[in-house]
Amino acid sequence: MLEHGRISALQMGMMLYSSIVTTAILYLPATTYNYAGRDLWLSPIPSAILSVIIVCLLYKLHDLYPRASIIQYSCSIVGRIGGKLIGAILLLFILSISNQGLWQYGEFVSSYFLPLTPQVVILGTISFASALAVCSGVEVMGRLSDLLTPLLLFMFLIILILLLPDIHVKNMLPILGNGVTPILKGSYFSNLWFCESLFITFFLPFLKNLEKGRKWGIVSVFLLLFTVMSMNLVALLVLGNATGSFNAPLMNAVQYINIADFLSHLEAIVMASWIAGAFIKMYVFYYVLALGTAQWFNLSDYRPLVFPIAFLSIVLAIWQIPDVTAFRVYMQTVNSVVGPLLFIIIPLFLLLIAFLRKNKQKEKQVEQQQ
Amino acid sequence: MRRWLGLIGVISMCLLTGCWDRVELTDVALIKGVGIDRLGDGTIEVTVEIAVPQVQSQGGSEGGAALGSGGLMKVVTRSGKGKTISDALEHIQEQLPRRLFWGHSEVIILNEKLVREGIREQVDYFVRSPKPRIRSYVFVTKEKAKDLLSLQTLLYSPSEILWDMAESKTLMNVTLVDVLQMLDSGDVAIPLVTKVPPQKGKKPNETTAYIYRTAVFKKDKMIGSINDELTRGVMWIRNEGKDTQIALLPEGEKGYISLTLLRKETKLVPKIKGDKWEITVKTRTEGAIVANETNIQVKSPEEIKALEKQLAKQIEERLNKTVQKVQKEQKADIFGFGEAFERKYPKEWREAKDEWDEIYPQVDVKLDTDATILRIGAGTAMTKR
Repeated sequence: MLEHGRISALQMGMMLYSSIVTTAILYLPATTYNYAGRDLWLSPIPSAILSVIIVCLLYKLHDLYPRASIIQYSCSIVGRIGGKLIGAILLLFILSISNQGLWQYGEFVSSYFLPLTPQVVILGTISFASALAVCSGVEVMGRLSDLLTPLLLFMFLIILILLLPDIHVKNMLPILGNGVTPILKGSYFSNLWFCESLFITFFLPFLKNLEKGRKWGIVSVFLLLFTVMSMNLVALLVLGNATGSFNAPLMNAVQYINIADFLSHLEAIVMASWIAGAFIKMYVFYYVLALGTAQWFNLSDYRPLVFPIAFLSIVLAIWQIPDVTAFRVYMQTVNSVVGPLLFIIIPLFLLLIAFLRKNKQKEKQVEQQQ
Repeated sequence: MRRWLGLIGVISMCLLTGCWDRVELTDVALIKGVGIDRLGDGTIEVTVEIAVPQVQSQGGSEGGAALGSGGLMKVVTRSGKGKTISDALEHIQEQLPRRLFWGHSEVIILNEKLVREGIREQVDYFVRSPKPRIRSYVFVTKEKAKDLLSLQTLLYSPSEILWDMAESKTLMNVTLVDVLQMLDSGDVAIPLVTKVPPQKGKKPNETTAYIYRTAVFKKDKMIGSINDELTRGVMWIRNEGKDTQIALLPEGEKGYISLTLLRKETKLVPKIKGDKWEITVKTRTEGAIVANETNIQVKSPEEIKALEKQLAKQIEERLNKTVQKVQKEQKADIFGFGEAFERKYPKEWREAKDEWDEIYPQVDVKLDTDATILRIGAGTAMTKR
């Protein structure tokens, strides 16, 4: 057993939620706006449906192969070579999106707040802290998210409330003015984030209350949907047609807060709680990578892998992405296709084969009994 | 082993020089407002109004210094020339021992010559760079923006005065975000600012600035301006602004009845009938009588009813005048008619979007005004005779 700690289903849900929402509220609204226009807030709905399907698939798989993750049971389902191949593809892709997550964090911090600080320092500090959290085991990670997720939720609530005076409801009209197609185009980009709910496969084996695993997985997806929708909507209602003019519309909307000429310049506070979210995101990614790699190699411990992976991820974040435009094009072409495809097709495929195999086994048992 | 690790730790601390973005209050020059002028040779001149945080006892004027914020901050202006805004800002930075800090910049003044060439080019810098605030108010001036920012005002600095005036919403106020929205959906309107003529015996720069008239743009180029009465009409149609004063001249009377319109609500109701585009400006307003010079007693419901009718008529006259000037003459869609059509008829709009410039002046504007007089005041100076 690689991990001795146990977390509750609620903690798993919170980790899942925070790790996805942090970057989803950043650049996604602008991309979605460019395709879905005024209906950008409806775009996450199709993605969330996919996300719920993934949660159910993985829960079912975990039912069939208890106390194992997708890296482990893929071997027992499709055989050693096929299973290892699937595991490797998944891990490599997760590594690549983890670098991108880290890069987004660094890019955002340095463009808005610390322009003179070297990128390595910004990336290094968060990676180091996250790696330490991962080394302390899943229990510590769960408790950290206990501590930080409410902070994140509180921040969203504060943003919503403080922006209410600047909201113009007419900005969202007409709803569905151009039909459903723009919404689907928009959700094509949010799919990747929502499909990261695949990560529950790495946490399900360590749940204290497994029977609640699916419930909290789905609850966290819905909370995510609600957050992304409301943040998209509030950015749209405040900025209107100008939503597409900004890279991170929500950040600009927060800059716009001005209550009675007194409560303004709040972006630093928002930033502080947002970094807490980025911290959760990074340690969840590192944990998934370290644990997954250890399972792939059948190692007895994942901890020695954590720091090398964190280091690799910093280096790759700097090497992999040359500039913002390259990142955007990559995000919109490769990632948005490959990510959801991998994260849906692989579990679906595994579940199908697993069902067929179980049936065959049953038939065999029946034959033997006869 | 432990000792060695500790030693490595201590040595590596020397490598961490850290705090690249550290900024102390005494190191920054707080920009309060920015002005941009066009120079003859194709370059631009950027002027920044800087508040230097310091203790009052250090007083003494320097350059074009004015006392702002009750004298706690010293305000100076600095100008720099360059091909672009950032180029000019670099020249300003050369003249300053402190680093320019954008966190409190809330006013942008653009010279008329510049915006006649286009406003998008100038606004882009303030949106692209994350440092300037997007809630900054944007103004256009016919004078030199530099002169306005270096006015020797009392109590408040020129940018603070303009900011407060914009915030009070008596005339139009337009932030950077509003400009972006208007650029995207129609034509732009931005308040004009000018100097109050100096009193006799004072120096030309010992006066103050105020918002006067509104600059009207076609797409992103300024084409003209409208006076304050029409500006209020535009604000009326855009459903903006706070209370308004109206002087009503009742039929057959010599004096005026002054009214304050406390609440007003305007809705644009678009309609497309075949090829005919039509928009109804639906206005509901509530007023209170604040002065009465006439012989009308304003006591009976009949009198009030009659006055309400005349009030509605007078409002319609003003709106008609506004529409005449802005829609028929200047052909600028600063009312948001295009947006109203887009919201109601998204399909038709998509097809007609490209011809909107031709359609817009032909749009039939109908007025539907309803005025209510709620209060007649606390007392009266009228005597029964």
